[in-house]
Amino acid sequence: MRGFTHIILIGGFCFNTAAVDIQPVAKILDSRCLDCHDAETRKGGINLTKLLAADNLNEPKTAALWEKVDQVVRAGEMPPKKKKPLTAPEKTQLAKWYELTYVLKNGKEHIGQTALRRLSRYELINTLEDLLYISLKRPYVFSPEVPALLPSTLETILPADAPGESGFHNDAEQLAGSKPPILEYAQAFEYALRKFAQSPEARNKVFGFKEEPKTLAENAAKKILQRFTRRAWRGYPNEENELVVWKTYQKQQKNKDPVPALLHAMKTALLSPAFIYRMETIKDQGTPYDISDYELASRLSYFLWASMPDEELFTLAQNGQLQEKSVLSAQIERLLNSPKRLSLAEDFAGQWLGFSEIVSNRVFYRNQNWNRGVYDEVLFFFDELIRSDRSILEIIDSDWIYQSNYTGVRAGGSNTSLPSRYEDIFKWRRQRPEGIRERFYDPPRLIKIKNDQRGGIITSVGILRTTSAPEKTNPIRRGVWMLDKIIGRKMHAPENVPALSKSQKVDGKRLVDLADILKAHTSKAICTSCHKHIDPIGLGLESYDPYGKWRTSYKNKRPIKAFGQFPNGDQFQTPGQMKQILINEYQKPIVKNMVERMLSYAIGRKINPHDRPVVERICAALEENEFRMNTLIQGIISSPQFKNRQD
Amino acid sequence: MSKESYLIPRRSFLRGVGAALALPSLEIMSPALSYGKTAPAKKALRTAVLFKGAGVNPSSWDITGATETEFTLSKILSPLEKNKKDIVILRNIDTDQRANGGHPHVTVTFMTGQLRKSRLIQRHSFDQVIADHVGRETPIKSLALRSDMYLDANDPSENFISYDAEGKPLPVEDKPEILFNRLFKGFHNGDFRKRTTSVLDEVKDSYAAIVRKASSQDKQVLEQYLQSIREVERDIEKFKTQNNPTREARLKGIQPIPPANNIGDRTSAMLELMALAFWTDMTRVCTLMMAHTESRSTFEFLGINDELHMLSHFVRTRNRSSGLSGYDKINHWYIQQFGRFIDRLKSLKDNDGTVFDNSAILFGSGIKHGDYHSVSDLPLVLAGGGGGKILPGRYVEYPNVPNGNLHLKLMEIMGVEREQYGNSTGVLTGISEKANLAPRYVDDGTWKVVKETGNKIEIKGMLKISVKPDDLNLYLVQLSNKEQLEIRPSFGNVHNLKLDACVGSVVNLEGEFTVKDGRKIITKVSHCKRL
Repeated sequence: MRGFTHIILIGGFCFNTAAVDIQPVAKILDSRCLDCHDAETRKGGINLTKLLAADNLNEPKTAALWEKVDQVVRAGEMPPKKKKPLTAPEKTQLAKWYELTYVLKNGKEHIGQTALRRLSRYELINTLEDLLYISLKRPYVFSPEVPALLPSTLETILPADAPGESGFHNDAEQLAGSKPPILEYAQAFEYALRKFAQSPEARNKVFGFKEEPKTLAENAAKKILQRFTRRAWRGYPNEENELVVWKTYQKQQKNKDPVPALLHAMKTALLSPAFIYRMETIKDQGTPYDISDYELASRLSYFLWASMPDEELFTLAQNGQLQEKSVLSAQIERLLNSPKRLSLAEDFAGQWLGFSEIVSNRVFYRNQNWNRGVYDEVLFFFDELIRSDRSILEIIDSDWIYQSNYTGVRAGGSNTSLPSRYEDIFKWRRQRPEGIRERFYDPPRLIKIKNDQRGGIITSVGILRTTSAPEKTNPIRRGVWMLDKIIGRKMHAPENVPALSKSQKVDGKRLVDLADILKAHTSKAICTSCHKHIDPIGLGLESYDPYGKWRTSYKNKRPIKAFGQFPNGDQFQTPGQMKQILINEYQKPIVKNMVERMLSYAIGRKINPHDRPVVERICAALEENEFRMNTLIQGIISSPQFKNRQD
Repeated sequence: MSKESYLIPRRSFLRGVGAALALPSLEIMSPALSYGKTAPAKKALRTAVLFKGAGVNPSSWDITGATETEFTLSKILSPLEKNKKDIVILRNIDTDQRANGGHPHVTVTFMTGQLRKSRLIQRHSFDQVIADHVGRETPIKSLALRSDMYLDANDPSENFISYDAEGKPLPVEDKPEILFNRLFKGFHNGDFRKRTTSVLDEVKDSYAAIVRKASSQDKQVLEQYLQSIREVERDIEKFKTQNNPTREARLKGIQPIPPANNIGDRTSAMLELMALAFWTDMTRVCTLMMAHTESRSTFEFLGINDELHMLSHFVRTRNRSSGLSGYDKINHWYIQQFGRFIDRLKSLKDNDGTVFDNSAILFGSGIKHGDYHSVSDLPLVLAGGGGGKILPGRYVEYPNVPNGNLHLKLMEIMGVEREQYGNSTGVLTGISEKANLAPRYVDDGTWKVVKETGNKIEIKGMLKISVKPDDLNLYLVQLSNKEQLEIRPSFGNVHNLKLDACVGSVVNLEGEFTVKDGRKIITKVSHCKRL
């Protein structure tokens, strides 16, 4: 009952206990910022008065506001161009104070408290599959009997997770804030164990025998269970816990067949917190320290596979070799070459970019082939970035895409087909359930494209569709999506905004063009501060209809005007040119955002100010290495956030 | 048993009955309950909250020119014509004014009355206060359901209306088939209960082994695991101690429900399951999020392809194909579902009257105006007999009161004694008995221009909002001489002054005006106070 208030602070900001004097920076704020941003004027809705006090620094709102101040000052966005800029010493002083107060702890880098992570539903189902050698996921097949939208049995038993502040379902804080569904766990484990018991191969792998023996020597049973719990608990050492499972077996086994008793003991092992949670050994240390090899194996496999480690990782962990640089590097490569890497596209990118809604949200349903085709285009595009270690900037634009036959969209020009790269995934996931007739499905093909109408994920049918209203495009939603998901500029829906009306008149003239209407609508300063960023992107994508098709005019024959101007004055005539501006002018925030998103997913929490040094280092490494996906993944894995622990 | 079984209605109101649901192949068997001794029967009262986010179009919702007992239903409320004697329509109940505008805030304050600083910890919502009190009487303490599948990823708190004593959101069930399983299958399978009980003892030992070596913060997270185990144990224990032959008899006739593929079917299915859960006394407290405040759901079965949230901002989206009419149509449909739910509960015989007689059902939204998100005069309808503690068949216009008062009243009906809750200033009167409130505003001849200097003006009168679909940004002040002064303020002006919250009240308003075609038009409001 008690204790929840503490729990939600885990993963939150961690502050420097020895406060740095706030007076000098308060002075800078007072003389240089408060003219516009005091409680009275609140320009752009920003009131900095509350930052002047030193006693409320720990409040999340204050910290977030300081973070914003630090950002805009460092980026040179504030004070605005028409005002006198801050002097270099002033800037340094602000930056230094912020760093000492919010980024560092006692002047040193740190990683914040490592939160205990409960398996998300996605991770739990994957883990059960690998642990029990059975398949539980919706198979990758198409048939009249298995509609693409039908959830797997376990998905109907286990409740779905809600995304946390990190934006992902595997957010430790969010999972800690919701009650573990014990009863559903019990039902799910019974279902999985029943499936396991019915499979001779699976039984053989876990028990070492195919046929059910009448009796089982105590030693043999002990060995089976020891091996099983070591895998199920991913090497988390706890003899007492092993004893509990063993006693369960003994109790059940009395005068009965051994196999039901083994299954019962396995259910107990699965319901143990050591399976449900990713337990780690603690040192009670307030500074970052190394984790064990087993723990590293788990962190690796849950990041790259959203599942438990396999035998090879376990063996390396057991031999204490996993922390060796060359071994770790080789393992990352091996994990990324496994079809299980699909979790990065399916779980990470699917949530980050929101395209999983294409198959999970009924709103977007058209027909099975269309939905699967649209989804697969984006899914395999992202997978290709990993598989072929491409530049992460290809999310914005690329000269290749995956193209499905079912979307009604063709990238123009003469396109050459390239060999597709998903065979291993299909081999792994595309199983035909017994007695089910498979409908023919033609997966999307990897093609080289020649014009700039397509390329990247941002102009894929899936993204263009999920950011549209049912029968209309929604330039604002598209613009906001791009700023939030790609550029990392979090937009807050305005509490209330003026009416956007087609009958809007300016100087007595009726406006007809969407661009003009938007311009008239957003001419107020408070609107412009966001819309100057949103509108050019959103309007630049007007060349694509709500189903992602290229168009040159609206239904009413009015021509599409997909040209525009970015706040910095850069102009574009086509979406292709817009993408180039994004890549050139927005490169830094785009890369930083991608690093933060993937780091968030990897460590299961939102990014905090103390993560800044690591994010910056990974960004720098990416810049040196052509923004390669592998550099990003390696950078995350070698960060203290990922491979250390702090209590 | 046979005496009870005829009570099971032959035909449910669900559409497409027939296709039985394919349940996961768990060992789900017919109920095999092992009851102990008979306990003296207590009157079982139930509370249901039907939350339909995204507000309404006030001019289609509001009832005008009515008295407490004589009232004509508005356009949206018209499906309740046959239920006029079953409901109390509540006016001028407000929620936390600080919630003005924010989608998550108005969702949270609907059942908590007041905001908290942290986004992740909210107040103990009133349904859960009730559940903590009566939940021990039933196998399942309470249910939090949702039929709108839309979830907001940016602000998790927007997805929940029910919060437990620690302010944590309650896990929400959104799949009717799983709820069906949980209500009428899993627990009712004696073997499943037995297996689960036996394994839980061992899991507790395992928990003890793990927690001993965990860090202090990890322990706090793990503690919830133990709590959940204990809750399951408690629920299972109830089956041993509670003797309820009525429930047993009623459970036998429950038929599987058909699969639900859209928000319409899902809402019907959830309401049906709520009715059955009340009837079989599986739980007495249930909340349902029928529409998310930022719902992207579409209502194709009503011929509406636009998203609800878009439509709800009807001032700005009025020129769209389905526009305001689509928005009204959806709200009308929700009221229809509410009416059917009332009828359904009335068709279910309880030991004492019908389930409806022993229920208090609150239907409503966390905001009034769908576009401006005003938090005054929430659209609220109360239904049910409340075990004799609700006097239905009325329309009550309160002087603006906080929704905490209503929450307190509902708690009182359910037997929870409390003096204060959320933003409450007292227990809402006029629910168990006639309110007999004097008409809120009588034109006493003083509604007029008070002062006018230069282009500045001060007026007293009744503030109204334009109902013309093509001129929705217009406000009017009604004066005693029947004249109506136009107000056309900028948007920021409306928002900053929360002008919309004053609509329907007599106000003292100051502002600047210009003269156009000989008419005064107020273009900037500097002050507006409800009198």
